[in-house]
Amino acid sequence: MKVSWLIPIGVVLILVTRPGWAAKDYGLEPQEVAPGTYVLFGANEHFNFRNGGNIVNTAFVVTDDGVVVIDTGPSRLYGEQLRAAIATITDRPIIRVYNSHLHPDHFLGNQAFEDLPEAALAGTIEGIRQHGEMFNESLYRLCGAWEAGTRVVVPTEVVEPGIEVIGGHRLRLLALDGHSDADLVILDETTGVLFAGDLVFNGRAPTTPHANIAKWLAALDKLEGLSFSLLVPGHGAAADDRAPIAQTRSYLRWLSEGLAESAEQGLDMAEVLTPRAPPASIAELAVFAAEYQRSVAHLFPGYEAAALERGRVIQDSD
Amino acid sequence: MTTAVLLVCGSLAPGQLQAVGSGTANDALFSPEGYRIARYRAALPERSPAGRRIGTQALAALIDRHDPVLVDVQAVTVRPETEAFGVSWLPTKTRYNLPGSSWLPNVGYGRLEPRMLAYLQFHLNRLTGSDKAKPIVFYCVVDCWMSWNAVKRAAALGYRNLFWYPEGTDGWAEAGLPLKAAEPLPLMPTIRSAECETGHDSGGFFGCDRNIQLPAALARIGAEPRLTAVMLFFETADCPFCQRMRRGLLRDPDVIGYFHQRFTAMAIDLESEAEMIDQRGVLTTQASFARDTMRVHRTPTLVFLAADGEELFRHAGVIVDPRVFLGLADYVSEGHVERMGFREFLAGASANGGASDPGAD
Repeated sequence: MKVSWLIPIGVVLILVTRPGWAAKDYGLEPQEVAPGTYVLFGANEHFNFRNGGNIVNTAFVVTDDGVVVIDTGPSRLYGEQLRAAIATITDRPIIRVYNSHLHPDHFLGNQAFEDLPEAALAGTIEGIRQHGEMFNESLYRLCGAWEAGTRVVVPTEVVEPGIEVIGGHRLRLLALDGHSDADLVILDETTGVLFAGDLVFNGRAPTTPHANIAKWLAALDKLEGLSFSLLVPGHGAAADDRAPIAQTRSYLRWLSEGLAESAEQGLDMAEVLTPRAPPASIAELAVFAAEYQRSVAHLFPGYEAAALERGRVIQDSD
Repeated sequence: MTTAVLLVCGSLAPGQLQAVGSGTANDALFSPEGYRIARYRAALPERSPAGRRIGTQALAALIDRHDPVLVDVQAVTVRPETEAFGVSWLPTKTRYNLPGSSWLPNVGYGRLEPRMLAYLQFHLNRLTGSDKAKPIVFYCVVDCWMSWNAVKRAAALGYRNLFWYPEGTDGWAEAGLPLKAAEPLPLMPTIRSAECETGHDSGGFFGCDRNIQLPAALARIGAEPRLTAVMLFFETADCPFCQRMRRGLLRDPDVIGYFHQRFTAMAIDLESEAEMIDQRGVLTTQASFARDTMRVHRTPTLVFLAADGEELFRHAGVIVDPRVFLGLADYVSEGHVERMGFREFLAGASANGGASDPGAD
């Protein structure tokens, strides 16, 4: 009796609180890239009102014990639709959610998995705690109503690097950094799939808001040394070779060398905003022009400070 | 069914609000007055801070039947220029909002500078035809706290028939209803007193921040019980008796304090072509307002207006005696105007041993 009374109220509440949001559809389609391993590929674009923030790759692995989810997308709606997409593939329960790092396209869907263990590196948890609200607000600006009802859900479980066996899958958890202060890489040694997170971009210019390029290059060297059969980058197509690692490395080197050189020549930021003769392999990356300019804003002040520190810039004394 | 929904929403609201308010970082999201002051794009509470929450279909029906005032509060960058060049909005792209709306950007911020508060007061007064019971709907976009703040602000200004449409233009568009390209309503000229122009005596008798449009000043009288009237001080730049008052009584801190407890004061220059907005919400000049609307022809003249814009009393001519000036304040603020003349009141006051004399000495 009591139950039958509660259900209609619940239904009414949902109708009242979430009007029309279901009209938006990310059109998520899990692609099976290895046995029991699915990736939902996002567009190689910037956040905008059309893609609703679906510019990211999320993934899940169906193990014997249940489903492991890697990254939850840019919004509550994405998280809900990801969860629904998983349910179309398997009726096994979701048992764990990982966030690869603190950026909003990788964790703002956590809300849809709030009832489950959500895990990330300690640095990622701290980063989301500190910057999560700011990220949430900026995605509202960039994606508008796709973000409706999205709230920051901080992962609660700290990932320790090492081996974790879940439902017959031997997962090697690596704590790296460079794209951000804490980048979780997951190598499924059972299937040979490497979930590289945003340490690797494929066909799209990397983003650098929290980057440390020296550390990032070191992390790429570590990835290069791993044994894997399929690489799933944070953005862009999966690959069965190391080409996306090389591509990311060559972009970061080009970016870093160009900025260091410009700083030592005493150029100011406005002059650096137009890149000097990027090689075709770099200029043709998706969203290169805009992403390069963002990187200048993120990174150039650091190069300038370093150049001034070393006294390499001759300044006019007037 | 409707009742059940309202009850459920009502009982959930406090918890929900708390959940929304207690972000991960510990910075303040709400002002002491309860306005949202940070993270304006975030999940919203269920309950409207005043009036009623309204959904898309109900709003469409309300528009059909009751012709409510529709106010879009979506924020826009303000281009700050000097007073001489005016201040204007700087929308970065075309905004589409509900047909028939008035777009008042930025009035949904949690803290409003006097200019913005006056802008809101002026337009609400104009759009409602000074009818505090006229239905007003506030909205912006989905998960935007600006509309929540605006409803709360309008309630504080005395509007009684308020609706909050939290889905905003996003919800309207998703329901397949039409939106229309919109222009924000221009910011209004600010009346600056002579002191403010020259930088002298700022915050004095006509305190710079208080030199706001007349409808806003009147609205303030209505909103603050201790205030009984707007006092208009009509002057010209070269009127010696005006200068005498300005250099004397109007600069006396005790006098200023006594008047500020009872009135809000504005200075009007009979010869100034500076723009202002009169009590009916009409854009005019100070000279025209003085001459044509108020029929003031000599200076100094003091006119007291009640909250409804009606004239309570006027005194023509200079006052130098603080007892007379403070007596005038008592005469108007205590309502003696309706019972006796000012001279009679003053005579009575001195006969009573200056009982109502606030001790100007």
